[in-house]
Amino acid sequence: MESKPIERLHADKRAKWTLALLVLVAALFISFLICICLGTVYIPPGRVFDILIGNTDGIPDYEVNIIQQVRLPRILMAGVVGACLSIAGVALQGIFKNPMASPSVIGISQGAAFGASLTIVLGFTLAEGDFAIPMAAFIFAMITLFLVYMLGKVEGALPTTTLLLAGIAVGAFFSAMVSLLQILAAQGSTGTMERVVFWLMGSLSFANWTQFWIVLAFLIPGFILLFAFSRDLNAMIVGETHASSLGVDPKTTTKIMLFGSALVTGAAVAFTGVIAFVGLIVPHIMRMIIGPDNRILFPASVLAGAIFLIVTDTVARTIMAPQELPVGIITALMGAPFFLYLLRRKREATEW
Amino acid sequence: MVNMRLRVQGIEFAYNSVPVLKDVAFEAMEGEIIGILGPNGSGKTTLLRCMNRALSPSKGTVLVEEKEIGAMSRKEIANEMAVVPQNCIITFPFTSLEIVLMGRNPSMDRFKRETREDIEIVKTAMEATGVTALAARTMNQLSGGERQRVIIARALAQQPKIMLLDEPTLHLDVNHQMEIMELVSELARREKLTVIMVSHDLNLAARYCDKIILLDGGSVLAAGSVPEVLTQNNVEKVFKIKSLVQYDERIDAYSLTILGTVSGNGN
Repeated sequence: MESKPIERLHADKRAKWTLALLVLVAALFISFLICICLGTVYIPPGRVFDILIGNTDGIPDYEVNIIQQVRLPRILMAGVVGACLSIAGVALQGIFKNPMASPSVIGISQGAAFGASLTIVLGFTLAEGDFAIPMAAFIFAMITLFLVYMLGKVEGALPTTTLLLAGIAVGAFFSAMVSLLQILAAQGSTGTMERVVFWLMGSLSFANWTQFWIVLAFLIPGFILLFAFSRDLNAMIVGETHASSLGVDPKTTTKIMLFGSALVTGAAVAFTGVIAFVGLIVPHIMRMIIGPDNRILFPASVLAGAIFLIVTDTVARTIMAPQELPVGIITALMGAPFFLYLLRRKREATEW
Repeated sequence: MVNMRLRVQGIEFAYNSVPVLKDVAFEAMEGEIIGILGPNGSGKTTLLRCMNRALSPSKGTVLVEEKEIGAMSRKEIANEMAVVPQNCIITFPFTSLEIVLMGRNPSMDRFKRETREDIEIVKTAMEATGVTALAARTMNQLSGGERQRVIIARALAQQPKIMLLDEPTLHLDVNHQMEIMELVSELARREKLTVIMVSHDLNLAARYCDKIILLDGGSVLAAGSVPEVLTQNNVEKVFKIKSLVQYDERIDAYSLTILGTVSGNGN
């Protein structure tokens, strides 16, 4: 293998980063434009564009409504939720140095599911009306984080193995509690069980503008926080002793990553339920394409996560229309084969 | 005039209230290679970790260039002192170049990118350890010796005055052990780097170290030059072997010959 000079290698890497971001932005734009036209009613791009820029003369009211009140908030919601889950995946895979990590390994998703089930089944509420379930889910996501953190702490240090085990245990506990609630629900009023199951599979069908703005309000600070520590996370991946010798405090970095990912996951999961696979697969795919540096993985995963969930949600709502499928089924059905394809191809190319 | 680089003063440390280090003190000068020797559990690695404040001693202080390490930020410490940890297994496919570039972390602001100057420093560091040709390879594609040289390059990229090495030759083939030690001693001489290494290998330590600190049960049993410390009595007491240290003119250094074991654990 011919070796390039160091400067060239570094410049090439930077160029690759820029190219990747440009391609992803373009792909996001295109998938947005295609997906907003598709649905039970097909609305041609020209008309969608007119509606989007507010030029609604001569367009039927129901089409304006579908775009403005249904598809646009839903697609934007899919975008921010996909972004949230993906950056949480990057952060957690980083601190656990494990490509298998995702928001569910530290129990956040299960905790949120428990909170939601409590509200659905037992009518436990912390907030009014539409916000009852999201609030309970978010609060329980945060409680889970706190529990895992306290249980994972060993004499003031925060070893990732203990943290991971604590997360798995707490997650299993909440999963069992959710199952218990499901059994209770099955004996209770009709429809409750279905609501729990639907929530557990994840869905964007109730997306609206308020939800979108709330999740966005969590995504932005969450992203900034995680991105600010992306170089520290790089050092953590090499090892904690390496990190501390490079001037990085492993404990602070771990805490920031945990808190940041719980924040964005909690906010996303609260409204949509548990959407599996996004947080696992998107960071992984990005890493295979542009390398393991977290300084590019965070921004790239925001874009790729948004694209991935926008596309899968569009499939979920159109493939069996008017019947809608839970998006979690589609993320796994579409994501898994693509992921395996990349895995095989990459392995043949570089042998890692 | 040789400058004092590091001063360890009366360090004590305990894990779960079991004392691991007891009143450990020594000094390290510019350009000096110091070997910390001792059997398993004698506190070698703990001492090393106290030196860069990965652990905080319960008593005593560490001074770097007369500044107390407890009062320095992690970044400030990293600008004075680089660590080459024992092993390096990386899950994700970082290239050697990316790893060495991490050495510039401590001197960079949070949102800044590497400057041309950073790249120059990294280039020099990689040339010094002979890993330039490996720059594009991922760490998992390298041999143990190559990986160790990459990590040493990263340590050099920190432009430290002190380099701490934890068992730098562990799990390496004999030729790579020699290669790493030759590299380290060349760096100490050329860059006036103070090198402090924990080692299991008495022979390599005898050959390359200017000074030896012999730990036994968490305290310093002896400290000083190779023939002063690695005496028959000391080595027998700590490692339970009979040995002989001699100056070998063929290599212009000391060499240690193991003569046999001590039967019956007699103290």
